[in-house]
Formats: sequence, structure tokens, C-alpha cells
Amino acid sequence: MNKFKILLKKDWIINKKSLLIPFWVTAGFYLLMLISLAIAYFHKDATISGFSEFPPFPSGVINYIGNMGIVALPGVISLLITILIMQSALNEDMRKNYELFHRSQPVSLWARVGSKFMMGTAANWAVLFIISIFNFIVLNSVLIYHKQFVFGAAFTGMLQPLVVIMKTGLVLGSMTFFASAIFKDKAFFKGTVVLVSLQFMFLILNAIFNWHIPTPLGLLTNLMETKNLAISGSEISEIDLNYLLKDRWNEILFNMKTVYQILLSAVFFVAATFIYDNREVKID
Amino acid sequence: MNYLEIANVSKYYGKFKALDGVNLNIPQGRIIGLLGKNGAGKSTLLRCILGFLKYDGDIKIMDRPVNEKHRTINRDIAFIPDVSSLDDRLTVQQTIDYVSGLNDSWNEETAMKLLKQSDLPFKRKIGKLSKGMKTKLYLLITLSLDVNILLLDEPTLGLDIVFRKEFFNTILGDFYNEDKTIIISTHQVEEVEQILQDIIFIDEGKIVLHEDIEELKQKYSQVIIEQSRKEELELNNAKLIMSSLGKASGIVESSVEISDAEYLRPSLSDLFLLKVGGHNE
Repeated sequence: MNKFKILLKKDWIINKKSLLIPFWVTAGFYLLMLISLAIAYFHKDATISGFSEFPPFPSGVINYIGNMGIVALPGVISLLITILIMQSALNEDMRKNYELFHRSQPVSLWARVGSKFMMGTAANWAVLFIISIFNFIVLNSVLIYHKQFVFGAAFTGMLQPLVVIMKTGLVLGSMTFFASAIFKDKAFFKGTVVLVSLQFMFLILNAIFNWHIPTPLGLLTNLMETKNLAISGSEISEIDLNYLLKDRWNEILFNMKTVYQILLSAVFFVAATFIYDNREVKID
Repeated sequence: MNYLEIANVSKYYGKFKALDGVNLNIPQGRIIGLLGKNGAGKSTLLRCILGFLKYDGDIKIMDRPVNEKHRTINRDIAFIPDVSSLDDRLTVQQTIDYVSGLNDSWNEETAMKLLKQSDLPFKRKIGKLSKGMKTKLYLLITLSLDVNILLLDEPTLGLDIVFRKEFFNTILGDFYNEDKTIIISTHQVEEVEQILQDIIFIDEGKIVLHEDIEELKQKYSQVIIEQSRKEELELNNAKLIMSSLGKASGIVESSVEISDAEYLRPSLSDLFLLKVGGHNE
């Protein structure tokens, strides 16, 4: 366990720049907001009017919907970071001639590969969670100020899209990780090309022979697809807060699809590790 | 006890046969030189020993087969490659922490001693170090490991002559004891000649010779005579005959006696040329 911590520390140092990109983007976003506020404050004609009036919905629903949005931007960036880290995870050391050094260390290959995988998933999620908590504090300070804050609804509103992004990241990341074991360069792009090619092949075969074989992209999108969290304007006034806070968890997390997603990710991870283990460390 | 047992090992790169039925038994407590021309198979052999390359045949390190991918082999063996493979993204200190944390064989006392003497900038990233500094760091952290087998592939490439001397004469000497075996592959054979006990010549992927250096040197002599008597060398079946400054020299078997000739111990590079062939430049 101690050795795994050392591997995690090393991989954190190596991936720190990429992992912190969502931080900098969020910081930039806040800086822009501050500049805008400063301009509005010093400009006599402008007025600051955010959150001065609340719609006539229950506070819980406002808290829930308001907090859903705070994960969106860092979440999308986080998914891109997952792809970025995972596609080079098994190739960067090889490409830069560091492989000999790292492979010479007396540590299990599974631990080495696992640590790399953790960077693209768990470390990335941790960063996303910290940013989300920060956004949560900022947004809800306003709600607290206006005495509209409902912690349970607000926190669930933040947590549910976070879980959706994490699950999507897990499947997307492990697929990219697997592709990085096969392709030594531009793994995500090449993996996507293979997938699209297979898709066309299946479509053509189905059309010619009148088969109904499920297509790979169809299967994958179905697997990655999670409950659409968006709530339309007409739904807001009728939505049941109890459903949002409790039943929605069943649609998002506690279902068989989550089990399949975890299983598929595990299969991709194991397959990638086996392929990587069989790679030779070539002489330049 | 044999630390390394290599049986009938062959390695192909495509159609090119890099190793051709290599058989070697390397005992405990020896310092061995691995000599060969460029592309003779030295690096390939070392990397097969470490399990970095796939091969045909069997390699055992301290009775454990390498082919079965025992990660534990790295507990007994340390390796310095001919190209700097340290991770440029880490600092010197982070590299030391990484290696010391992962290796149970890390000897803190030795490390402190070696690193204190060095002028390594601990906070600097590896990528910002000179080639010589990188090599030095690699050597020092590797020698801080209490392993039984040390494989050095052109270990002092890019180092200045002062550190090269210090490394071979002092640092490596401190590392070595009778429980350890060191295999050094190098082109700078003159620098290691004094510390080597055994020599392995490899050519075109085949082991040409594996012998105790003292015994090998006793079998041959370098004979130096006047240039005008050069044909006497040829008559005595001398090899590597050369002429310089009015003198002619050649390598002959020790049993050969030529009157009024000067006899010297042949150098390793002469013996290499004798056994493997090539030009003495």
C-alpha cells in the first residue's frame, strides 16, 4: 500500500498540470465575474441585480436546479482531461524513454498501471469534486444571504450531475485507456476511428443480410447514457422534490447499468494491463 | 552459486538475429566485462536478462525464471541503461524519493554518503540537468541499492573523465563485495580493465569467449621487436601485427619465445581484436 502511495504521488506530480486545468478555467471564470462586477460597481449606469428576486417555486427545487449548473463547465473539462490523461497513460514513458527507469523498479505492474488509471479517474474526480464544493459554497452563500438555502436539495443538486460525469468519465476513460494499450500514439483518435469503422461494418452487414446485430456505438452510447438530468421550464412547477432527492438516485446510480459500466471499465483495465505487460521495451 | 543462468537464449528483431543461442553461467561475486562491437547484442542481452524483451530460451536470476515475469527480480538486480531513462518530469529529490520508496533494498546510509559528495541540484528537474549530471544521478541512486546483481550498460557515457575515474576506482569499489556480481558493458574498456575479473566477448549475437581475465592474459603475450625483424612475428603466427616508431608488435601465444624481444601483457582490447577480429584503431 505504501508503494502504491509512492506511485500515486509520482503520477500526481507528472499529471499535475493537466489535472489542474479545470481549476484554472474555474479561476478564470471567477476572475471574469469579478471584473464584470467591478465594472458594474464603478459604472454608475449599470446595476447589479443577480438573485434579487426568486421565482414562485419551492426553495428546495430552486436549490436543486441552481446547484446542478455549477458542475457543468468543470465537468466537461474534466471529461476532456480524462481523455487527455488516459490516452497517454501507457505510452508517455515509452515515447520519452522513461520506460526502462520505471520498469526497473521492483513494483507490481498492476500497481503501476493502476496508479496511472487512478490519475485519469479518481484524481480527476477529486479535483472536480473540490471545484464543485467551491462553486457550491460561492453559489449557496447567495442563497444563504437571501434565506433561501436548503442544504439537502442544494447538495443533491450538485452531487447528482457530478456522479453522472464520473460514471461517463469511467467508461470513456477506461475505453481510452484500453486504446492507449493498443495504439502508441493518438490513442483516442485511433480508437474512435476503429469504433466508427466497426459501426459502419455492422450497419452494412445488418443492411445486406437483414440482421439485427447491435452496433458497437449503439451499445456504448446506451451504456454511457444516464438519466437526462435537465428539467424543462414546464416541469419545474410540478416537480416533486422528494422524487429529485430520492428516486432520482435509482435512475442515476443504483441500477444495473452502473454495475455494467463498472464491469466494462474493469474489463478494459484488465485487458489494457495484459497488453501493456506484453509490450517489449525497445532499444532506441 | 550461479546468480545468472542463461540457457540457449535467442532474440530476433524481425528477421535479424540479435542473440544466437547464448549460454552463460554467471557466478556470485564476480566483476564481469561484456565486450562487443556496436550491434553485437550487448544491450539486447542485458535487457533480456531484465525481462524487458521477449526471447527464446531460459534465463534464471538467482534460480527464478525471468520469463515468468517475476517482478521480484528487480529486488535482486539493478540496471543502468546506456540511454538516460530518468524521468525528466521529476526533480532530483523526487526521483530519489521515488526510487528509495519503491526499493526495499535502498540503503539510506550509502545513499547519504554518495549523494552528499555529489554536486547534484536536488530541487532541479531532471530535464534541466546536463547529460553528465543525469548519468551521475542514475549511477548514484542505483549504487544506493543493496542488490546482488548490478548490470551496467555503458554506465559512464557522457561523464567527464574525473568522475569516470572516480566511479570505476572508488564508487564501484565501495559497492562491490563478494556477495555481489557486476556486469559492465562498455566501449571504454581501458577504464575498467583493472577492476574486471572475468570477460565475456560477444559478436553477432554469439558468446565468443567467457573467461577469467588473468587466465586469458596468461595464454597470450604482446611481443615487441625491431621493425627489421617483423617477419619473425609472422613466422611465429603472431596476430594483430603493427608497426610504429621503428618497432613491430604482435600478439602471440605465451609458449612462443622470440629472442631479444620485449614481452608485455596484452591489453583487453588486443585480446578482443584477437578473438573477435576487426581493426585495431
